[in-house]
This record gives sequence, structure tokens and C-alpha cells, in this order.
Amino acid sequence: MSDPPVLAARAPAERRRGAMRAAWPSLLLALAACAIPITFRDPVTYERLCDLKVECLDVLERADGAFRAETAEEVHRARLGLKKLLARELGKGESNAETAAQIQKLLELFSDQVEELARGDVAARLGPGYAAAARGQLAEAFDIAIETEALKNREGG
Amino acid sequence: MSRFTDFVDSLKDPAGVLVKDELKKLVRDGKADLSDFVRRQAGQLETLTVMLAQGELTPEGYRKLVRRMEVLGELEALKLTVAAKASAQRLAAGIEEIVVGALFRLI
Repeated sequence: MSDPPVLAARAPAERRRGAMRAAWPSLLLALAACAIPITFRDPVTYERLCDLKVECLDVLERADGAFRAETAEEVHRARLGLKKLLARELGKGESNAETAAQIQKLLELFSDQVEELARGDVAARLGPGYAAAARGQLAEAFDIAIETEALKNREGG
Repeated sequence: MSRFTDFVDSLKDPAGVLVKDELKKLVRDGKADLSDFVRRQAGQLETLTVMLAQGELTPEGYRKLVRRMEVLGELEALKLTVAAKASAQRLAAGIEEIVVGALFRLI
């Protein structure tokens, strides 16, 4: 038996309301996923961090003992690379705050070490084992930042 | 006894500023920690202390390197925050896809 005319007219509206009710949980969960403030893995960030790790350690290793004019130029290039990466990561907003903070700390660690080398007499002032130990720490700092980027999820699963 | 404990025990500390037993316990416990990072850091603190004892580091060099270890700890804390957020993001995405997308249709 078919519905009376009034009920039949109501049916599409009821179906729409039913569909909307069914969509709510999905919509809420999607919003919840978006509310977790974290960016997806960025292959460019990962690659730049790996490159900068090699560049910074190489500059420091060669500067150990003789801080020459060309060393200053290489240091400038490596520091510029870190600053550019920092600007890029800051541009991703609050959801990328941890990565930006890590790169800021890498920049500070590298700069601190360069300043010590530029002052000279590192072995006499800080000890003959200082430069290598500080380089080891910088390498570990880069590794932590690289691992952090690798921990993030890929966009689209 | 290790060089580390020998050195710590040999320090003259009339004012009692350095709690020698606690320093040794910090390194011992750290080296037995579940976290790779904490184990590495405890090992590094021991190594740096031995380097100080052997004259490989001056007191100023030692202080600077220990302060840099604090920065490594801050970097690791940021990494753990990202790991937790990424897990939560995966869970939310999994609920969305598997529970809402598939299970809800079956029940």
C-alpha cells in the first residue's frame, strides 16, 4: 500500500535529515583529526636537515685548529641554510612549532660552537677533547631533529 | 671501581656542594633506563666526567658540554611531543576510516 500524499511528500526531507544525522559522527571525527595540531611529514625538511647536518659538521671539522677566511664564508653559508630552513618551518604555523623550535636550537648550538672556534685556543681554553665532543653533540642534535620529522605521518596515510 | 667513580670520590668538597652518591646514582640509573636517549646521555655524562678527570677537558669545557646536553634533552622532549601528536593523529584517522567508514555500515 502506498503512502498517503502528505507522507510521500515528507519522505525526501526525512531521508535528508537521516543522512545528515548519520554524517555527524564522521564530521566530528574529521574535525577532531584536524584539531590535533601537527603538520604532516615534509620530505624537503627531512632532506634539508640531512644536508645541513653534513655541511655543518664538515665545516666544524675542517675549522678545528685553523679558522681561516674561507672558513668564515663556509660558516656563513651553513648558518644561512639553517636560517632559511627555520623561516620555512616557521611559515607552516603553530602546528609545526616543535620542528621550528628544534631548528632554532640547532642554529644556536652551531653558532655557539663556531664562536668558540673563532675565539681560538679551543684546546687550551676548553680542553683538547672539546671540539670533537661538541661536534658529537651537534650530530646527535641533528639526528633528533631528523628522527622527529620521520615520526610525522605521511599526508593521505 | 671505574674511572668515573674514582674521580667523583676523589673530589674535595668540604662545603658538601656535590652530592657524590646521588651523582653516581644518576649515571647508574640513567644507564639502565628504558629510553635509548637517556642511556646515551648518562653514558655521555660519564664519558665527559672521565675526560675532565684525564685533562681532556678543562672545567670550563666540561661545563659548556654539560649545558649543551641540556639542549639535547630539550630537543628530545620536542621529539616526544611530536611522536605523541602523530600517534593521536593516526588514531583519529583510523577511527574515521575503519570505525566510521566501515564498521558503522555493518552494525
